Amino acid sequence: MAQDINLLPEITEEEVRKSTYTRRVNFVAIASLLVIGTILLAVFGYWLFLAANSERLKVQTKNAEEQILSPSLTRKEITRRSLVERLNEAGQFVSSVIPYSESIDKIIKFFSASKVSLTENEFKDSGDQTLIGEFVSPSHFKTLTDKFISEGETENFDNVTLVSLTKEELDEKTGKEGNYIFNLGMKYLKKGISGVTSSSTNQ
Amino acid sequence: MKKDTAAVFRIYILPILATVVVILIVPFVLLPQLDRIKIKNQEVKEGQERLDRLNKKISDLSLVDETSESVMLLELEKVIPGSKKLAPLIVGLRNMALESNLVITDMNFKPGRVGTEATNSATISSLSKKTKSQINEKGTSSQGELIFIVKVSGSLENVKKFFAKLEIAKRLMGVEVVKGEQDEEDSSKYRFELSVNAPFEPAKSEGDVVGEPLPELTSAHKSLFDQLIGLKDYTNKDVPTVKTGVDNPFE
Repeated sequence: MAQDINLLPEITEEEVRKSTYTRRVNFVAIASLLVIGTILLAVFGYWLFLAANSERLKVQTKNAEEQILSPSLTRKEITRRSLVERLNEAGQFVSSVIPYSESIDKIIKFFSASKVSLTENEFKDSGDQTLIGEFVSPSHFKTLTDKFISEGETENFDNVTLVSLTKEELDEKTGKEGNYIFNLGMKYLKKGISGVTSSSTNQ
Repeated sequence: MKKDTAAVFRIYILPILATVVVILIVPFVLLPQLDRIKIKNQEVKEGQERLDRLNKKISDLSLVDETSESVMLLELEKVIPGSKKLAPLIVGLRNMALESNLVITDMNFKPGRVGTEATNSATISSLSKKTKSQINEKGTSSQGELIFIVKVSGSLENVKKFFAKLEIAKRLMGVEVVKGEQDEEDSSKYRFELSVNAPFEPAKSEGDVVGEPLPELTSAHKSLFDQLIGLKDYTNKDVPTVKTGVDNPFE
């Protein structure tokens, strides 16, 4: 009885597994190379798109700038800028100016009503005012200070402070009693020129 | 053993090369390219924003009524001039003093200097430290400020009138410091020393003026303008100009 002869070389199971594994690894390697290649292509493509866009913008910007720098539009722009700048400046200025005429008007009225004489004064743009004067009777001075601190004047005068109060010596020749000399400090609160408002010009 | 290693290397040559390529491409090609894209993207974004601004500006400029705004600017020249304009200022002050029955005893200008310098040299003796620092702060601002000293003499009532005129004068003037003293001989008279600030607005050109949006002329601006042109002009007389840079400009 003849025995069957196996002509095919025997492939072990391990060799079959190894070959499959090698094929898979190669496939993954090629796939990853392809993915990287695609990403690179996409990146370069996007870069080219951006570069083209940038060039297009440069050309359009140059055209727009040339249009703005044309004599007629330049004239219009200079006029508008000067106008708005000056109005802003004027607005700020009129709102910060102290209406000294109103302050002096009140001072004149208060001093003449209280029979106190004003000898010196100093006003500063911060609103600080110093009034130096003299009076004969303390009641006159009280009338004066009452006027500055009265309820109707709280929006005009604030921090009314007596800085110093001295009494002149008796005049030996005439026998006349010396006057009281005072130094009154206060803050004038009003700002802005009446009739000119600068509401929101700097918006 | 050597034969085995060579065989393994031959079998896995593709994955090894792929790994090497990926490892090299990512840090040396991909990441720098991404950075460049980021920068370019920002550049394009900014370029697009600037172009949009320019296009808006062109459309805004086309809506500007040049004639009307030129007339407004001409009127504003009397309120805040583009330069110091000393001669009309002196004429205006003299007119205001005359109308208030005041005598101007002294005026101290420093032509050619403005703001800080003028203040430091002309008014330093009469101003308090605090006021000087305030003026110094203002002097460094973009606007021009002509600061000068005026000394007037007259009654308190007339000084009040003078202030009232100064406050509504078309050439804007602000009094920064006022010092008054009663006359020793005539108690009804006072001598006043005023530190006056007359602003002017020189033309400015800073930064990307072309790309800057056109400033808006709002209704608040228009209303302020209407109020400003209602102020009184005390310099509405022609002041003749004389030759400059000569020995005698009046020849």
